[in-house]
Amino acid sequence: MNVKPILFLLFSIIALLSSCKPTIQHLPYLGSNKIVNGEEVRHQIRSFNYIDQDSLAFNADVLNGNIYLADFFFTSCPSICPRVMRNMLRVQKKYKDIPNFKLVSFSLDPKRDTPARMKKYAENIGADLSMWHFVHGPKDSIMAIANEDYYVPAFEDPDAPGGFDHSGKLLLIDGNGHLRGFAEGTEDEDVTEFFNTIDALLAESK
Amino acid sequence: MIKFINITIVLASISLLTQCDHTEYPSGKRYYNAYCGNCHMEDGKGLSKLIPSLEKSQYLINQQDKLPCIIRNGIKSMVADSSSELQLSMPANVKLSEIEILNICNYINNSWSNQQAQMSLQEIKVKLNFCD
Ligand code: HEC
Repeated sequence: MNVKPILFLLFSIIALLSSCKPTIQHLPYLGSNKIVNGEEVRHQIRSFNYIDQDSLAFNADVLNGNIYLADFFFTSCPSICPRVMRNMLRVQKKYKDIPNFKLVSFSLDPKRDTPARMKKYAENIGADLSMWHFVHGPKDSIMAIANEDYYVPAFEDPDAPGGFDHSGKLLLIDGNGHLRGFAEGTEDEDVTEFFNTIDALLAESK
Repeated sequence: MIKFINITIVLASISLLTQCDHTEYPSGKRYYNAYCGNCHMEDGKGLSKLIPSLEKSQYLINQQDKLPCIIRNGIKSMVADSSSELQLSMPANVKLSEIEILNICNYINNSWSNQQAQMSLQEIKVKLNFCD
């Protein structure tokens, strides 16, 4: 029996269904889908319960309905973080007047990065704390969401500069917690192109 | 004819050599981008108040004697790692050779809008003898 036509039909249906939403430039949904109770569900950032640089609760409620850009860092990071932060600052500058757009920096080093220390760091780099959150949570939990939800490889490594190995990816998350795009935060040109991706998501959610 | 070719070759090599020695510091630039660029950035401007700019840095202008030592030994932040105070320190670069340090010094001293006298290898050796 020839399965090819059936497969082709299946794919066409999927393609048709997924193209239903009328948007100009629809960004893909990234990440692998899961099967829950026999139904396929989209990859989604899990809900969490952390605190920010002001020791205020930082959880799904704070982010719900907001498009945000996430990265992972630690204040004593001697390697890629300053470069990534400089690009986060470029994003801040470009989108500072857009309501419902946020920046979120998760610390991989909660032991040293107390909320007060992160606040000082934020002030030193010139972060606008009305749109940018610096996030403190239990280390294992932060490592898990980095690796499993945001797809940012991050782990403790005594041989790495500063004690942690991680990538400088910037992750774009939509108002429903779905991953919609990413860029290399260490690459200025990649981030410049990424502005188009952010614009597309903003347009889509209007 | 042979003479003419010879002269051209000599002139070309001189201009090549002087380009490398005086107008730009290509190897200094390479080392700078590799060892310093993550923090001070390719344009030398650093990151806000966290990492100082090396362009028009008063420190760089006044502390030329200390520059090779800073590159080799880094700068230990004055403030202890207490919970609320934050000062990023500059890491040491013990693996850099004297020539590599020389190239970096000359590159940052004469890049962006910086204009400092060129250092020699001998000067670098002397300065490195007087690190704190
Ligand atoms: C991990 C980040 C980092 C790297 C890499 C780094 N620096 Fe620094 N640098 C700093 C910080 C932070 C300071 C400020 C330290 C202080 O004053 O406590 C600094 C200070 C300096 C200063 C003094 C400037 C001033 O105005 O205070 C010079 C000069 C300098 N760095 C040159 C270099 C050179 C050359 C390299 C490469 C060999 C380099 N740095 C690599 C973070 C870094």
